[in-house]
Amino acid sequence: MSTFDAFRIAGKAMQAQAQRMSTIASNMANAETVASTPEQAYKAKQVVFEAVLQDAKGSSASVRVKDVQESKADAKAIYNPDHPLADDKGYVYAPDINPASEMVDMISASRSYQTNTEIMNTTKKLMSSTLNIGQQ
Amino acid sequence: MDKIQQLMQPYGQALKLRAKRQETITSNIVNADTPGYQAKDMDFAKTFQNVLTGKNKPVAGMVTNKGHIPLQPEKVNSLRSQQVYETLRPEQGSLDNNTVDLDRERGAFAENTLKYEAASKAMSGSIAAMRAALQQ
Repeated sequence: MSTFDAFRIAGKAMQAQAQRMSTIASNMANAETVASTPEQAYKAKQVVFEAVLQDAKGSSASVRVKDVQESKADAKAIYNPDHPLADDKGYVYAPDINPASEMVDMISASRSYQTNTEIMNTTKKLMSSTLNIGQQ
Repeated sequence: MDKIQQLMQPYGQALKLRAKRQETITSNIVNADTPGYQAKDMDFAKTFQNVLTGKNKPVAGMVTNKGHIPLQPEKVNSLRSQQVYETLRPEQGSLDNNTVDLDRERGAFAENTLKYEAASKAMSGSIAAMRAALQQ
């Protein structure tokens, strides 16, 4: 039980938020990727967070990525018979990704990451001031 | 316990409790996106009261058989049983049952940081007073 635990908690949380951001980046990058069949189309991914208890009493908990889930939404069928990957009916299948909602998620993830950085900075200041107790 | 230790003990306990509360608030902040997470906070006044008056200290376990090993209270982290936590009720409901209110947690974090610094300054002040007395 020490204030250094706040470093560990915030550190693990930063890892989780970084993973969330890379998942969102992956979704954004593949928003236009098409495939010949709905099964082969890219499925949007989303991270699911889980609290990790740091002590038996449950008074402190960090966070980690429990699972990266794939979207169960159907792929969008786009009529484009000239596309090299078009199937025999002329359709290509794109993932059902909304760039606007992915961007909102990205902004939320980066705000959380920044908050964790501020927590670490403040904790570092407190530790410095603790080291100075009693010094003239 | 000698007189100087007796004088310094409440300051040390206050610092330890402030650090523990900092951990709890940090846990709330990092779990702001975790589904189902229940925000907690330490009731500092009650906890500090318990610690100052020695209430709720762990006691030696009763043994009903000579072969049983009794609980050893000196080895148990006594501050843990004296800590009082409350689960926070959310201002607004949320779809994923997460009860963390980030604005409240940010305020609590800033307040606890300030009080930690105040406790460490108080300790320094008491050491400075002792030093001044020694130099008379």
